[in-house]
Amino acid sequence: MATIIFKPTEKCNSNCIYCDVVTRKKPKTMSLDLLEHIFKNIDGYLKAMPQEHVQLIWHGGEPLLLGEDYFIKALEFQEKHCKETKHRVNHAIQSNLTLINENFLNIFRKLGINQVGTSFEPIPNLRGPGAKRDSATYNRQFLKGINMLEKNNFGWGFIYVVTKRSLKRPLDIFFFLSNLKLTGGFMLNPVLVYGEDKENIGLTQEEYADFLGAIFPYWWKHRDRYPQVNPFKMFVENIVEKKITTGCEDTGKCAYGHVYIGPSGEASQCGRAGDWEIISYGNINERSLLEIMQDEQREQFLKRNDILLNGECKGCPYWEFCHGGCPLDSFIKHKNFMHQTNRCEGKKLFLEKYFIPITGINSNRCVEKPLMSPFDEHCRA
Amino acid sequence: MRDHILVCQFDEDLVRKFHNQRLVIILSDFNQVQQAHKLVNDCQNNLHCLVIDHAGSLASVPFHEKWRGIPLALFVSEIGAFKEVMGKLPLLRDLNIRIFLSTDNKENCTGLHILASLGIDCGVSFGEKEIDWEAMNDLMTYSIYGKVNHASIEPFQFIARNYNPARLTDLSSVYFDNPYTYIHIDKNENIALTANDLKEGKFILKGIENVHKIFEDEKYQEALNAWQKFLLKENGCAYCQAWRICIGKFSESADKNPGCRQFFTDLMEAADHFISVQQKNKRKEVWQP
Ligand code: SF4
Ligand code: SF4
Ligand code: SF4
Repeated sequence: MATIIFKPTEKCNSNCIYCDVVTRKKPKTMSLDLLEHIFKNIDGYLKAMPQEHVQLIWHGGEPLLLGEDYFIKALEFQEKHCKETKHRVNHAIQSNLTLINENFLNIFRKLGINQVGTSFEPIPNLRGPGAKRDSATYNRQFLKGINMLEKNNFGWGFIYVVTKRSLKRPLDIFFFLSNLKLTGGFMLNPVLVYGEDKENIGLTQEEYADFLGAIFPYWWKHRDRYPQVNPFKMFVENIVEKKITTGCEDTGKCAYGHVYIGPSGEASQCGRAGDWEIISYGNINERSLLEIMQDEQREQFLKRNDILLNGECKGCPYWEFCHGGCPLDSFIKHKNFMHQTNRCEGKKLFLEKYFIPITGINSNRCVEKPLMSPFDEHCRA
Repeated sequence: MRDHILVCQFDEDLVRKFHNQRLVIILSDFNQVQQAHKLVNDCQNNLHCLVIDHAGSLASVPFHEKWRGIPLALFVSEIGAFKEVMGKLPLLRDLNIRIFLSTDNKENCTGLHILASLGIDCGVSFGEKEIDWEAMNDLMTYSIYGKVNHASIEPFQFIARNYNPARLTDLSSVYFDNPYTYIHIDKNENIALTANDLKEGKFILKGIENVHKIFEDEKYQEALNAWQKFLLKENGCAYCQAWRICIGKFSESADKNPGCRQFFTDLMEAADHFISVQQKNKRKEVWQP
């Protein structure tokens, strides 16, 4: 599956404290001509790769600012240009839900979308429009959005971004989030700060591990009540059930699996790599999606697995669900991709200080052979 | 979508207007019990329950043989003269009745314990005065974990029976006051979503013929999501681990009397226990002829 992080607009109606898009760029929006060109490219890619599927994740900015007509056009372009391949295109969307209405949901259904990813923040004035981040208005609209999704039988899940401000009351935040969505259905992610931490929201790895550690004993005891809380559920699945259900950062597989396409057609590895302008795969106006997906720079991400496995991560019992973490995190620290990330320490700390003593479960996973490119002969076979 | 159960004061003209309707009828007098029961049946309605709010004690209630089989919810101030109650016990045990005692009288926790141990189904009626959550916890522990045979005590049994961690469990149903299941109507056919709304004239619709339209009404949808107002506050019930079975019912007193948190947390644990015991005791079902 090729995952396209598709950012047709950088515009946003919110001013979330941890978002790069609103602070670092003048917002641009993709033209309809370029949108059409992208669907032609998706068709070309899928025809060249008959076993492949494409997941197109609508991202932003806030994608609903594009308006309903934009999505109708996308559907038309897909119908027109992906006649034989459209069954291999899956759409997904990440939205702040403040603009959602039934018209959008009708179009989403036609695009095959039946759930929406979002994010939420109970601490006031971290998410919301305007300089003061009016979270009261934002949260009211967000809840209306949730009600609309549920009324229309759409699923939803959300991300909670852990910042320095979250550290005072981890369990309270956990209770709030699990009251918002009773079964869980959320992911506790650490804030990512690239460059100067102007808002003083960044976390040390120890702080993040301790934040998770303050919640974990309660979650573990009551995990039947809150089955869908991540990263806890993922840790359990990976260690106990030996599944690979981690996010892209921990799979070691993103090399040939991800691409970011921005509003001007600029291509990169993923949203973060695009936002932070760390890797460029050129522009889809000048290169086909197939060429972008086969860009030689990608090979370094695969090689990284080998280098780490035989170097910094050698013998690490957590390799199978870490793979040295996200190459971008390595870049932030070392200005190249070939190292462990600064999350290594936090991950080990959480597992060794909290997970293993509380669950009594240890990791004995054996190291499997390094991955291959999907363009590799063996892999395609 | 299931039709609502309508809750109204006993009014002959109003009851005659209903047809094929499930009803909760609030009586003002014990003499109305048989009359209301007969009328509801004659008009081909379905009696869910008759409710009597009696200012006196249980001992002073003129129970009648003819009440057998009639579903009754009786709210009384206290048990009263125990000897009197014991004399009525054989009949009481035979009736389709639940007796509610108010938390406003401190003795009533013991009273409920006694009633349940005598085999009389009963319930807590939450009053205006400060609730003794510790006493409530003892009563709940007896109700859910008690090994000796006893009758049910509400709302504990309701929570234990209906608790599903994936959704909110609203104990208001025990008091016929949850707009998912019950709506309230007066003799002028004004319809409200709660007993309080009806009392305060906050009507949502008018006319029996419009009852089924309630599902389309935006105000109805808003009322069902009214609990979300807690999620907009910086502190309070939205941060409570027992939220899913309390939904802020005691939010106004929670600051001054925070024992509700521990009580409902323990009740939720008890519900988990109840579910696991039920699953363990589930008998194998062989095919039926
Ligand atoms: S570079 Fe990092 S964030 Fe981007 S796709 Fe790869 S693992 Fe994920
Ligand atoms: S936890 Fe650290 S050592 Fe282990 S695989 Fe991850 S980055 Fe490497
Ligand atoms: S138990 Fe108390 S604090 Fe918790 S939701 Fe109910 S009223 Fe609020």
